[in-house]
Amino acid sequence: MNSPSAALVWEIWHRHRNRLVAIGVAILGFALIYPRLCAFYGLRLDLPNALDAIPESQISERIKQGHPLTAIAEILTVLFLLLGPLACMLLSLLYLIWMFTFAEQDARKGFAVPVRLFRLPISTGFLVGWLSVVGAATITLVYLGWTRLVHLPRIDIFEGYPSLLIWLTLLLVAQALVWALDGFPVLRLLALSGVIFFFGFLAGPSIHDHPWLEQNRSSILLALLALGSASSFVGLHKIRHGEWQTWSWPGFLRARGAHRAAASTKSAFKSTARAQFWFEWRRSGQKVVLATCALSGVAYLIMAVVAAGVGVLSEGDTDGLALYLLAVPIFLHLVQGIMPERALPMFLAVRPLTSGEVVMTKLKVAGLSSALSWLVTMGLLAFVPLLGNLSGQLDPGRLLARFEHLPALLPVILVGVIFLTWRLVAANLCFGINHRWLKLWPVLSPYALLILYGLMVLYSGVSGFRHAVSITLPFVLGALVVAKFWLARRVFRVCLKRGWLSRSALFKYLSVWAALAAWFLVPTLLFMQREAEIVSIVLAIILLLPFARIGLAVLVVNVSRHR
Amino acid sequence: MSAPETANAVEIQGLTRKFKDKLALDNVSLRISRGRVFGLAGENGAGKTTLIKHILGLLKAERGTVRVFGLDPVARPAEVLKQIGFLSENRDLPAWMRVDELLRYTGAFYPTWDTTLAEQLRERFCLDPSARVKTLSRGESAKAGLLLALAFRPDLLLLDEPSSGLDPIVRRDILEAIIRTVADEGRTVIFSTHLLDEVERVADEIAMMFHGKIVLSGPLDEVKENHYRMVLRFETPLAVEPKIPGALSIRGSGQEWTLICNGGRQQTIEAATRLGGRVVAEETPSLDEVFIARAASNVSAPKA
Repeated sequence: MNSPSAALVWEIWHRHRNRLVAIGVAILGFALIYPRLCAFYGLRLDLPNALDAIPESQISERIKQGHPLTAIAEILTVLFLLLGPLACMLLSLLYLIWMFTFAEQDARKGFAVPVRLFRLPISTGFLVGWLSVVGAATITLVYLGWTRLVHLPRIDIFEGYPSLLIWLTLLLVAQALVWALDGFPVLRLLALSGVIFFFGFLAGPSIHDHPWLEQNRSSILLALLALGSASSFVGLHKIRHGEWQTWSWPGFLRARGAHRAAASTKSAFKSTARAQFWFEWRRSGQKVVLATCALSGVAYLIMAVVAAGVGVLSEGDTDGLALYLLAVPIFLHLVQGIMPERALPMFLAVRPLTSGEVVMTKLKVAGLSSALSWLVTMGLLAFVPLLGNLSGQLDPGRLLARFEHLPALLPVILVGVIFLTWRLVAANLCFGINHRWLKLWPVLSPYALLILYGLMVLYSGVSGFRHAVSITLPFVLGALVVAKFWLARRVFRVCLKRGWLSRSALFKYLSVWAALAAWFLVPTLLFMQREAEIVSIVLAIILLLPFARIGLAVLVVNVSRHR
Repeated sequence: MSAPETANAVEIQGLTRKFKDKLALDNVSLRISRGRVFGLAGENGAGKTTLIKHILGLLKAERGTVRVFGLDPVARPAEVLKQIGFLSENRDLPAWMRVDELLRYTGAFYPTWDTTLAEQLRERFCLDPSARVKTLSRGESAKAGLLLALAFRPDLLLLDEPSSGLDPIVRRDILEAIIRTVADEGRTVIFSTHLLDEVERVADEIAMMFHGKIVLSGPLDEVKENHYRMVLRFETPLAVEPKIPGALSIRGSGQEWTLICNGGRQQTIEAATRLGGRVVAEETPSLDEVFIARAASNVSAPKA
């Protein structure tokens, strides 16, 4: 390394090499395998809208002939085939944008540009220019990789995303926000949420409903690009010289806060459990709920402004907003779940707490954050019809009319959604371990399941395969359930014997587990008792409820606490 | 199962710990009696923090045993940690908490938490209850951490490099807190430091670590009595360092050489005389000098 440029390149490569390699592998993998997979399923990628190919494809026949549950699985396969490369492209480009903001984890600000950069003999202009230019070059390279090497399907809902200008503008705007709002993490989160949503809106098919925006899209992007460049420089300059990095609350608010704080030193938590719940809630649960409010609220606000301008949103816009709102709590808990804590902070590790208490508190906090996130989401969804009409697939009134059992199943569905969101966090606690490969399981498991399903679909055309699967599946699931309970018994016995988990805590969790099992199994047995696969469905529900994993989480916390 | 009665706050026997290829602790054995101030001295990387983490149960002994008030801190962490007030070298308090929240939260874990004492210490340390940890200076963070460690009157106060990076006033506060803790009957203090003048001021017993080994341990008075600094003058200038058995370190040039020795004083004088030298000055060395000499020679002293 003999220049600042080379040093910065080295640092970026060193910090992100695994993910950069993964992006390269993804591009090559899709380039080589994807057209063959689509041809196998009869999907034609050369059509103006690849979704139009579905009626002609083999999958369509299987959907018509098969069981409704199989039809759902086939549809998921189609979605994976059509959306897989596009989703990977979006994620890889978003990751590159994040990479070139150069932000690192910071104890005080969450994420911040490292101050050590400003102790180096390089000017602010050089740093801004380098990160912008090299970032733009990298994004262009990866973009070309996706658009030139991979035969991306053409789908109208994503037609705007293969637009290089959008990505380059998003890079500069993101850099501007991350740097200019370095001292205001909450405001930064809100602004980034709004920008990502706005860019998604600009790139999506809804733009056709707004002719002025559609015609002037390129000009708007160029203007944002210029504004982003200027703001980036100003932002980084201000961080470097410690300017405008905080604000002061008005005097009366500060006095009120000081008085409240002085009074609270004299009050106490009623129990250790309450204190620990408060700690975990403030540390993680609350942030997820606030992020839900921010991401969802900003999106709703933007669409409300658009609706105020055009009168009523189109069905496409309203559907898009509704789907976005539904995705937010799932996405946030998914992100939390794939990054379980790998070591207790020292401050917590030296408290007189058992590992079981730590885990049980995390489960409670995850449950509350899931419930509150969905409460926020449902609340906002209730106001979506004020902006425009939803399509038949999403309009609650029409759905209720179409499915006669839906009203009775609503509570089950609601609890089910909250449970599945909670499960994204709870089921991965046991992977909070620094083992070389085990720690990757939360990230890789969805892909593993998709690959497994893909293989099953691949062989479903083989004569007798489906029959064989329907015969063996209950036994396989049954064996997994037996293994689950056996492992749970072993693990919980160890935890109880060594004092890592108390009997009362275990009893409480078992009660909740049993209540959830009853909540889902009773309606399943009532409404689906005539289904051929009822046994497999019941066993799958039991497998979904985390049991042994909770005991394993206690074990893992204990191991990481006493290395 | 109640804790076995023991006169020792901490008992470590044959403790060994490796991190990959690095031997962090090499067959360390220590007994720290209740009611004593124990100074653990050593250079950076000697193994002091690793030893402290074993006492806290944050590291599991690969070989050997660790007992705190007769209990295994790994097997029974909650019971052991209820008796230990710990100040970490890294001051790793949650940045997002306010001072008042720190007190409320920490107090919930300790049945012996004294709210009045906590408030007195907070006022004494001039900590604003509404201030967030991330806005505290280094010294204020140290004081906040010390407050949390003291407010529940722990049986064992464990301080890892408490004065590191702090100004003299804060250091004075910390040392006074140590003295006050010991004044309460039966309480024990263990503190690690590379500032040996602090050890000299407050410690009753001392252990010195070097490359994971205990090279010296015992009551402070005895350690100082067993070491001495001699200044030797030789009739003819010496081109090379004189070989004096029992000398831990020898510095100087020409006719005048200063050596740090322990034990065998008469033998040292006789050896110097045989080489043509005579003792012109003799003093008790400072702990700094003893430590540097020990580190240089890496020789274990007979236990005092």
